[in-house]
Amino acid sequence: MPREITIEPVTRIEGHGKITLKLDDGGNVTDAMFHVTQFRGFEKFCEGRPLTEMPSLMARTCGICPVSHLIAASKACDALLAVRIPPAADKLRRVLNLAQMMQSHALSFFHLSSPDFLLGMDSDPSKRNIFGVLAERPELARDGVRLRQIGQTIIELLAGKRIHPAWTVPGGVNEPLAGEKRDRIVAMLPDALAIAQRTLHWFKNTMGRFTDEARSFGNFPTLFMGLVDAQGTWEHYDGFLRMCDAQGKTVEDKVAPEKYQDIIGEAVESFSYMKFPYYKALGYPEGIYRVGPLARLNVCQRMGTTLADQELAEFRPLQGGAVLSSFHYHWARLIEIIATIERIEQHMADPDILSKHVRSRARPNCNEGVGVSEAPRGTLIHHYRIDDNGLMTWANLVIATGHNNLAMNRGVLQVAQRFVEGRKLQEGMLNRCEAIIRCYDPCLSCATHAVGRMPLRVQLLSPSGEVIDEQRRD
Amino acid sequence: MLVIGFGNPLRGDDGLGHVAAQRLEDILRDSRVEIILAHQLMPEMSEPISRAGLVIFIDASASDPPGHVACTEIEPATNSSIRETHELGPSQLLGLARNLFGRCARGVLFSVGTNDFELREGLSPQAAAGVDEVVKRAGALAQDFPGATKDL
Repeated sequence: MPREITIEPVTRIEGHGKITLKLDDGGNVTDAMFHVTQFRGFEKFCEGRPLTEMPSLMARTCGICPVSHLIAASKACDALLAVRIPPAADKLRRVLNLAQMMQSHALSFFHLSSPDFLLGMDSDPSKRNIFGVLAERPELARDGVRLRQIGQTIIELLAGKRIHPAWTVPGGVNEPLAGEKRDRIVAMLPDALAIAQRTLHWFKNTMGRFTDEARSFGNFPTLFMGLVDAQGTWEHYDGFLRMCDAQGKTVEDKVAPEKYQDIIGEAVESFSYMKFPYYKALGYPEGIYRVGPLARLNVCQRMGTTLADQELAEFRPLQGGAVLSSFHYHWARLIEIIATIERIEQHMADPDILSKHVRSRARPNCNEGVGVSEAPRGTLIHHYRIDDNGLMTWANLVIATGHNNLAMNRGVLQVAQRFVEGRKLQEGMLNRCEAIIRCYDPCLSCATHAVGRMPLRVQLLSPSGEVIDEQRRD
Repeated sequence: MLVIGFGNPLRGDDGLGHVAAQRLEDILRDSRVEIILAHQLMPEMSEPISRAGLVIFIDASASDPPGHVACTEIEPATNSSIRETHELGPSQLLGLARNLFGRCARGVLFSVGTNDFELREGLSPQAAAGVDEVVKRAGALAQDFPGATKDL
């Protein structure tokens, strides 16, 4: 009779993690933990670097999310320079962030999660992947490949390359958009919209097979946090932090992003390298909150574009109050794809998008700067301090996935208690424990940064694997 | 025609695919030639592959002697052999193009043997010599290709 079950690795997510389930003598799950097993160290090794390096340096945190880090890092550097970037640069950065959201959401839905929806949570794991989707429903696989390609191509047309582009810089962007590239972007949008709409239609019709999962995948009351503009409209690049509760009532509003520490604290646990942010007013761990597509749709009053608002009107009444089930992250993600396409179209129609004035220049004028934006996975915070020479002295990163850490852990416990029978273990039960994590579309490479002094054990191994030396810090 | 140079340009000779592809772009100067530089092969490349008549892959090879240049005709893989995106090779990518879009370019892989994957930019002398040969042979291939895709 197993007392502990380990799921390692958690598959079809970005980064490395494992799940531990603890069981009692009756085979019932009593506890669950989601361990993030990788460590990056960006907050530390950027110390001493010039602030101008930060966007490109921080982009290397991840190969899926480099644009998100470029945006937040550039905004933090704008604050250090104390500049207001030209309006065209603001619009161009927004389009870049929207394209990033489009391609990242496409990756999450089509490549990572659609195998579960199409083939079933209990299907053969060797076929439960994008290639299994290809065999079963090639048009769905084709749509996923195409939609991701469109998002990545927009990024490439704007920024010069798809991964780790060096285009966004402190003060703006380093090259304006040419008319020919604008036209190429516009030409791709109808195809993207058609894919997004038919995929959402298919998903809504598929939902009926997953009512049990929708009831038990992270379906509990928490707070939700995201950016909104001054009128409460969905935001992704700028605006104010807003928090709402499980009834949809606003508990924090118009919080300037640089004041994030007034409402967010960070804790650590010994079983994970990922931090545990929490809402300070309720303390840890009662101050659990979620970010990302589900949260953004819960905190905003409207999406601000026609088609996305129509979808939001259908989504909102799902549970009365805020939509709580983390299973509905997938639905929210698809609505956001539609919003990104509509907004990119609006920006491309603005003649100012081709302006040559795309960068403000200044020397460092502040010793502290905060940049906040919405990454596809949720609110992303880059907080820097520099000395008078413009060299980094300190950085704090609060990563989108990190905000969801408490919720992911609680979600794994809920799913495990609902589906895992220790006396009669089946693969589909364990897949569901992974699938709740996938709802959040975590990026664990991005999310592992430090607070304080973590327990560490370092071993020096010879080429043959013999332990030569070991140091511990408890 | 499509040229895909892939590998990590911050890992020594692993970046030779990028170097070779960029030199081919300078030499060919043909609007029908599309160059893709990438860290790894991704499913999204299946769409441009389906539109091309010829796709030339260029990569470093850890299993060949340093400096050895190989040119291999690539056949599209079947569905059953495609397992995961992290191990997507040229053959699997051609197979994906065929299965998703019904068409598949002729595929050729040029590889240069090396054991130098250190954390640095720039190529070893042997890799640089290999790139010279790849550019010459791939350039000749580009001038001569028939231009027809394998329609199914």
